[in-house]
Amino acid sequence: MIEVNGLKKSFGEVSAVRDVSFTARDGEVTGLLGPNGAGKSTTLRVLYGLMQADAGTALIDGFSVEKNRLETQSRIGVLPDTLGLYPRLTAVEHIHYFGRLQGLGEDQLERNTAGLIDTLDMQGIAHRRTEGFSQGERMKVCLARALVHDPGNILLDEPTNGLDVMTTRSVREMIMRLKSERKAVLFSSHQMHEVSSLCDQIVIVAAGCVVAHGSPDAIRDKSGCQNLEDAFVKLAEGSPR
Amino acid sequence: MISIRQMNIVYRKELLDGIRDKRAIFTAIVIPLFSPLMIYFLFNAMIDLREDLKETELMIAGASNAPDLVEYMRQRNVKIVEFEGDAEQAIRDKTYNLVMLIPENYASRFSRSKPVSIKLFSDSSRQTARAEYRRAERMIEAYARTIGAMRLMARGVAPGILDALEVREMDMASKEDRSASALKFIPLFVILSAFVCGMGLAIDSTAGERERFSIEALLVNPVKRSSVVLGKWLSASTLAAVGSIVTLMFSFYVMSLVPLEEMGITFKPELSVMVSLSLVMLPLALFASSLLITMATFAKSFKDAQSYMGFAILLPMVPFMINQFSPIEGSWTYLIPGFSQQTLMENVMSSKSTEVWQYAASALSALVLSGVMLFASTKLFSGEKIIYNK
Repeated sequence: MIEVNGLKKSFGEVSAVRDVSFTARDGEVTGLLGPNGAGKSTTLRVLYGLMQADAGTALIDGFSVEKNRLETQSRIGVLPDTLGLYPRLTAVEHIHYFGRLQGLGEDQLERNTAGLIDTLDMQGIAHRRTEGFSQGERMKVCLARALVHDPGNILLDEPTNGLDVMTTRSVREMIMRLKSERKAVLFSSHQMHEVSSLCDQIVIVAAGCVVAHGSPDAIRDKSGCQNLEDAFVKLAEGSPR
Repeated sequence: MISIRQMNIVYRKELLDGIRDKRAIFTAIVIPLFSPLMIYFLFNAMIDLREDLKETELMIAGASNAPDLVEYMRQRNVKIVEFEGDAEQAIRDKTYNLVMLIPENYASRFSRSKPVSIKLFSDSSRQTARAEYRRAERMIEAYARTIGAMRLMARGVAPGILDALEVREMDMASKEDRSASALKFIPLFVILSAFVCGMGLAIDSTAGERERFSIEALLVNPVKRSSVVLGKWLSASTLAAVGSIVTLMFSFYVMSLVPLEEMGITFKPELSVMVSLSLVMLPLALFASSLLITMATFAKSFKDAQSYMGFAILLPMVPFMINQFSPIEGSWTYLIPGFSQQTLMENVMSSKSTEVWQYAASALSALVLSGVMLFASTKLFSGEKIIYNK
């Protein structure tokens, strides 16, 4: 479970996050929705334990990210917005490196790696160096290394950005699979259709504040719009700038 | 606190990644491979120069005019060759370095105790010609002084009356000193290896990690930043240490092929010497890598880091350069990384006495400074800026 309460973060003069609170429950998919620059990535980075919030709390399974960084980091699987890989390591070597850093024993590591290669359909690229991988192949390596320690909470920053139809579909399948395994899945996006089909709960962020929070139906009702995209535009534009 | 397990994971990954980096490995092998070759050619060139001096050949035109002088020179290891033709032309054509001309009136003037002028044709712009010229000149002057003394004695005057003052050169350079100056190159190349061999890995694992954006995913893992920095540092240090020891091994092998004794060098490239030199080197490899890691972490990009590296190599050279103008001495110099290793290695190779405290001071200062560097780069790694550049 991921809980965020009254989060605030600014960079010099620019305040990226003013007031963000929400809860992502186990067994649910939560979508963090907002236009570019709304503060989605900053919120996620605070949850990764890589940024210090100016105010507010972030909890993973009840542990404070700020006070128990290492504990919370072993409970999350993260797909950052940049798919940074080591070009001279193979896909499996990437998965092993992260699994070991997460503290897995060698037996467990081999089992989890084999399972992920199977699930993500990576047999063809498993022992190839990642130099020259397509965007879709890179995405699979990043997903596999993020999930190798079987974390209870998954955070994905714009996971389908720039992907082809096939890979987008396999990412969606992965998200539904993680949901069925009773994990808390939190992902950010600025694409409405993606969020509405996947999410149990939507958090709309604009200019660093949460402007709406609830199920897709509740959001439609609140804005008075039939279409979720119209609702998003109306809510996002109505926010204080 | 440091987690040894995590440090080891990072260390093994970086080493594997580093060894596969063709560009980095290419820079790493250049010095270990080429410096022994350079030493080989340098030593051989030095031997050739000395042999030139040993067997001087002197071209003399009109040798038959002064059999006494010619005989005097022949006794002093000079091979006399009769010269016929235009002396000036022979020098200009670079056929010979030196031609001596004895005039036909030598005998008649000599017997009347009149000065005889002997001409030495040479080109002073030629480095090798100068040595030959000075040798011939000194010999003629010595002969002239002997004859002059004999003439004075024949007239009942003490010959010492002409020498109001006398200069005697007391060359205190020992055999060890002479070999040390020839052997200086080896520590220099070895120290350079310590800085250059780990450089590719140091840049790629820090500035490269940032540039590829892999750092965000890496630091999301529950690892202490100090473990990450130490793992990267030790992997760069491994390449630095291996590189400098390989340079040392190759240099020793090459020296066993060079006839050192002919050069008056008493040094013998033995295994025990190599082991103690390696021990002197190891702390420097650790320090050099900590310096490179810190600078590359501080750099904003890969390119930025590469431009800092020139400066990083220059840094340990600064004491050497100062030393050229005004020698730096004293026990405190054993605290300067790079310089202390150079001094120790030179002393070991020229079989001068070394003391335990010198090794200890040299190693300790390198290790303490490494600690300072690693503390700084751990601080850099702990900030948000290193990941998000804001």
